[in-house]
Amino acid sequence: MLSVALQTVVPPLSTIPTSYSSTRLSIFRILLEHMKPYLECVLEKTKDVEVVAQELLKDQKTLSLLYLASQEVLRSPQKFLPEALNSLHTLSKKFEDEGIDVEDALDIIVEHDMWKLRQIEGNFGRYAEVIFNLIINYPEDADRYSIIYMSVLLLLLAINEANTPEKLRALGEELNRLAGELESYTLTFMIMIEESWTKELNVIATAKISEEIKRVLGID
Amino acid sequence: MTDSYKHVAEITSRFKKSIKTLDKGVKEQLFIRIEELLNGQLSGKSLKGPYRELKAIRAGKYRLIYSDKELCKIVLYDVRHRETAYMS
Repeated sequence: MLSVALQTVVPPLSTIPTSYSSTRLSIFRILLEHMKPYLECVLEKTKDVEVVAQELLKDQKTLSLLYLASQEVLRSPQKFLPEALNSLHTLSKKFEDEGIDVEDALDIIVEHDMWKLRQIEGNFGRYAEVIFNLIINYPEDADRYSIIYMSVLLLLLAINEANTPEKLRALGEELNRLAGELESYTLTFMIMIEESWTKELNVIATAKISEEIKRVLGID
Repeated sequence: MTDSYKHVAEITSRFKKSIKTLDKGVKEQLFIRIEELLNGQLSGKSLKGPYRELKAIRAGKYRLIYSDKELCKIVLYDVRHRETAYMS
């Protein structure tokens, strides 16, 4: 369960791949060394990325390094974020050149991470409450989130190492699949964090035919 | 005379509020998605944790949050913009 908690407070993981390539900080180099066997597994058997992620989540040493590396990102996001976005654009282009569309998936991942970063920076108390609620009351969903999030990180890192269109295609397919699930968590967290969200859910009208829906939407 | 949908839509005050400032093009996109939902041609992805009974579908750069847990009824809860300015 510690790994779940750790995962949910870790700042944007999508910035980590950029950090590997652009920084001279030794923490990222050491982390990459520890991640290497996992990345090799992901490249070899991409469809098993979730199994690899589960293994990584048991590896306390690598998780601790990951946590430290992400704290470095959090310490100076203005340094890492522009590079991360450029890097993700480059990744997107790499896929596009092979006729693989991952733009939507990358959008979802960035949206999730940027939202998370904003909460950690400016709304940490409430954010921590939400995460605590998920871990305590919905442990299966918290576990699943942890696996998805770690899988996404592994895929993003593996893309840099993919040297054939087939490997890239396999990574893209998994990225698209997992991004869809990540999106459900993004929305859930966004709603959970808004304390007023449940206050305006009273039904004020019903509609059974097109004209009634159009009237509600104001397009009649 | 227009045919009735397969499901009845229930409109919440939050939904009404969330669409208030949307432009006509977005509302038209939403209308298409809502019709598909009400005709049983579409099913969204479930949310998680305390909101696992809610579902979400995309309508362009927006997401419609609804519930279909009750038979023959779709409750429309919210429309939220996707925060996608980062990659585009």
